[in-house]
Amino acid sequence: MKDTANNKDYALLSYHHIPGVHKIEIFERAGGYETMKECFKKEPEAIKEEVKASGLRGRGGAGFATGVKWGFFTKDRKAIKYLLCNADESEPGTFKDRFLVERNPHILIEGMIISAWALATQKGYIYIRGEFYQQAVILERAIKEAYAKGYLGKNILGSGFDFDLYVHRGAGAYICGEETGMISSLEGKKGQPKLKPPFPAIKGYRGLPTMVNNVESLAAIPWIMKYGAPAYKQWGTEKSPGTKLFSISGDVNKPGVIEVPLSTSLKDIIEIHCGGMRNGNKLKAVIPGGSSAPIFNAADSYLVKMDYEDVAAKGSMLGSGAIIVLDETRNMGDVLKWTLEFYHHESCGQCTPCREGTGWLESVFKRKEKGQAHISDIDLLDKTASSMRGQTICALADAAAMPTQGMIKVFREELEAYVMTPAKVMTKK
Amino acid sequence: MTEVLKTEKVNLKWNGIDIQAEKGSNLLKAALDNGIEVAHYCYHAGLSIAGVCRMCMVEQDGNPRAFPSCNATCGEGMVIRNDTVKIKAAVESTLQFHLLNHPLDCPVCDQAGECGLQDYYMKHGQYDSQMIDKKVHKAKVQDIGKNVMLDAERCILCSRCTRFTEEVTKTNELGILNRGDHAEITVNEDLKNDYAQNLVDICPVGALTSKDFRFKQRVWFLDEVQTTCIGCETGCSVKVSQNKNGAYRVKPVYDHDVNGHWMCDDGRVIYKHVSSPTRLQNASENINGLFVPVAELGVQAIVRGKKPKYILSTGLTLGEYAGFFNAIKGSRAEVALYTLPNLGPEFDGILRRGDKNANLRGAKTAFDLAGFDSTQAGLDKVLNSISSSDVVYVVIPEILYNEDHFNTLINKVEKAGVRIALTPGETLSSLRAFNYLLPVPSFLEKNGEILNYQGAKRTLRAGLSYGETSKDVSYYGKWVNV
Amino acid sequence: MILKADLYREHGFLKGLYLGLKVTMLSMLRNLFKHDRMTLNYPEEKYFYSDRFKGKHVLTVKEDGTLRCTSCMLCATYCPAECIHIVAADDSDKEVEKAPVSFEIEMLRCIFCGFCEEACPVDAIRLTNEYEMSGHAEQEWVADHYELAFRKSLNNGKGIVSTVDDKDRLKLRL
Repeated sequence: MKDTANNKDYALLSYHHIPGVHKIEIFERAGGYETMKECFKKEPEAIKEEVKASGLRGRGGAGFATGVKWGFFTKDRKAIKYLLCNADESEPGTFKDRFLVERNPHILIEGMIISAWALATQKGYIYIRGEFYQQAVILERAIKEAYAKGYLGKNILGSGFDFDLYVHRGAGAYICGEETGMISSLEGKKGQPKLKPPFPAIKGYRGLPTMVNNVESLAAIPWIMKYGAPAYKQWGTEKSPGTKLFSISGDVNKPGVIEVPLSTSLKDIIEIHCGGMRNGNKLKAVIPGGSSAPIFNAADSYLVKMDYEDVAAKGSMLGSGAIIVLDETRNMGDVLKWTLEFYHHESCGQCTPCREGTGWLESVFKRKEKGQAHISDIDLLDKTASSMRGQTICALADAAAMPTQGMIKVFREELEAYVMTPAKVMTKK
Repeated sequence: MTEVLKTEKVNLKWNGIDIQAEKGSNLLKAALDNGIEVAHYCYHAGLSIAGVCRMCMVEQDGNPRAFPSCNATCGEGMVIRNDTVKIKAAVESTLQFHLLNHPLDCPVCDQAGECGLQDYYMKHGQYDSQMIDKKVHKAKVQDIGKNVMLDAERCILCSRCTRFTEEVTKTNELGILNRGDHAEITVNEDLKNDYAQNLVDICPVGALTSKDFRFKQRVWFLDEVQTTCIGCETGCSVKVSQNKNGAYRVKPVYDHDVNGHWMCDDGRVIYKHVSSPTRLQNASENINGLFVPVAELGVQAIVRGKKPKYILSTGLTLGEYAGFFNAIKGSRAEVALYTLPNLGPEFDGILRRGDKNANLRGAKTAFDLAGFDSTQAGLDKVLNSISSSDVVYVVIPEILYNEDHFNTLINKVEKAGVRIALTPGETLSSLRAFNYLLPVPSFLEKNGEILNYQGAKRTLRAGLSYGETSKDVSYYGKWVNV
Repeated sequence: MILKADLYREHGFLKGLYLGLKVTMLSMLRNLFKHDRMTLNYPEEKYFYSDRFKGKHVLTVKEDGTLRCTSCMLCATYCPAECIHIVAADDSDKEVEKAPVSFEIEMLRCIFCGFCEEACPVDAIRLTNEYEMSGHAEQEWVADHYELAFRKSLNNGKGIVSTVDDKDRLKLRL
């Protein structure tokens, strides 16, 4: 529980330094599954209260308090309901869940068993991103080990509680990371988000109550149950307590996954945890929460503290904690172009503003390739993006619109210059 | 429990107008029922909620986020607005997105004139286009069976059609393939359900059009007459689109008690005989197989004094039956009823029934009242008693589903001295067995009422008029006393 | 004509007469010996109206010689005289989709208002400067699409290719 940068002894990554911890014997020798056994002696309501008291916020991106979300769930322990783990980590720049599952799948399984006991769900699914083949294999092996130990299946450890856990691989769609989209996909339908209300906690998978939680949220639960909510709250702020995994990519010396308490300043993350900027280049911009978050310029980046409130106050969002660092050699036009290409490709095509809007944003920004660009295109982009926001079932339209608007706000001149620079034309020989 | 919910009314304010609705009912439906115009594409009262077109966005007092009214329910004291600047701008931009990849081939599109995109563009359009980019092209002119044509490019992906095949017919022929702006409606196999042409009606744009109606007329040349389908005993409420050149199509009209929103594909063709080129329009005499127009007075002179025998069809209105039986009171005429044979199962679970006699109940009631036998035995008795001194009048059924069955009746009639057919339809070759043909009004040329399978009164309304086909309700009885 | 009694009083009779008839005489002499007179020896001589004249209709054709008309019937809808009759059908070319199988104009009913030309979204119908129309029987006055598009006077029977050709149209569709 020390919070120095070198000794990563935090809640989530507390086992990661142990070699071979993905095997159940080594994990148990290190103290794994102890909390789970303790929890079966506790009342489910007590577990829920503890999680609520810890103030743990959903780590998938929206940051909705997990304990509160659990509170909406039906309290009828007999009713058929599902626990769904969202491991469809597809936001560009995010790779924390992959790291977690790859190195230590058992911490997730332990967290899921505790949650299942608290919520009385009879079946659990880990919906893992299609590209994570290796991680799915690791998870399957870990689940098999847990079944062999009797931690999963019928009558777990003589508690009379049944819980089955399955791994379901997605087919690689970004939108299946949205909880209702994931449920559609799991049901065997096209991965399209569903209308809310009703929310999944009321009517989810197969029309039954379903609790969807992120990998990181579920993996934090054993630690919270072991050391208690007050211990968890020592980190972070009042509204954003605890630690968080950040996946840092881009132009830093040491990119990767780190666990730091929330409210750590972004400057510290870049300078201390990531070893500063690569090649001594100057920082130009930071995308603080995955590709859908509005961008910060260098000045803002050094001021921001990485918690939900402060990032939001500065006009962006913490999201899944994917920090993308860009140095002075990067062209913001290219960044925006790739972002728009990504969201155009990933729009599910259900709601009109998103279906047509994401495609149009891309075509407007690429008008220079046909020699049709005009400086007013930037205004058109801004207007189109703003008319997409808040108009769709899920947040994908917002995810495409927010970085566009953020980029225009911060780097307008550069985008104008980018648009007006003629594209390199490949001529036929 | 549902009964309790139905009676409970709540008060809402929509754009400052007080409206009443059932508690828990759909908010958009409540507005539409109260005559408030709300732009919408994907919402259809007969289907589930998709919430994808994003046109029906509204604001509620105390809720910072705009939300689609189709996915909201009515509650007491709700204050809803869709005339705010924010909502108007949202609807405008959403319509712009709808039209972004639309091919704008209105000149060749049959939907033009009744198209949701055209209608809303007049109200919510952004008249200066900013679209100079390449549009996404999709497959056009696809015949997907059952008289339905698909143009994926015109589609706005409201998913009404896929929901229809999923929820109403449960046949699932249609689906949406691909993602993003490449998403398009496709068929996994050709349409096979018997309600396929409802897809044409529910499509708010020109993506699904009728092959039967294809390029026949522009819709603004047509008038609509609301009447009742005579295809079977269900008696669905329909409207027939027509102009002075004839009838062109049949569409269902919402009727809560009988047909709901839909009608079957068989009902779509009931207008065909009305404006057919072979429709009998004048009284005609059969001269060696050729029908030559003749004056009705001449026919009357020939049948005068002969004993009349009538074989009525089940297609007359209540008024026509009453007028007929009133006229034959006290005469020596014999009357029987020809009923069409059952086709297919008794009831297919949605609307269509095997009994094709539109007004069987009305006919039976009228026969019973007048003291005549309306059963098959009664018909056989009349047919067997025909002799050469008789004159037989046969009212031909409007739609003969099974011509062979009817021909057996004609064969028996041939013994009579004078055979007269009163036909509301086409000049069939089997009618050569008759000496004279007299035109009578089809269902589109008469006003009246029929009784459907529930015994409920359904109204027929006159729209067209051909030659001498329009007749008074007492026309059938006129021939008794000549 | 303004009679100026002053002419006689001022110039005397002969000169007054000359001055009074000067314009008339000059016109007469010019018309006798020069050829810019207003009247024509019709039908040996013919007047040419400008292209904006609203005369006999023409249906334009595409580069491949088929009718440009898509039979959207907007002209028939607008026509105040209700003299245009179109029967539409599927075209074998899916890109075209809809084309007329019959396009008739009742010339005796037509009031040559030019609304059809204005209504047309694809430049398929134009009013030309042809004004010579004559015929005996009523049937001769119903112009079918062969007459309207491929009569002898139009490019020797080849028809007039409208300026929006197919490539341009496809280009406009982008």
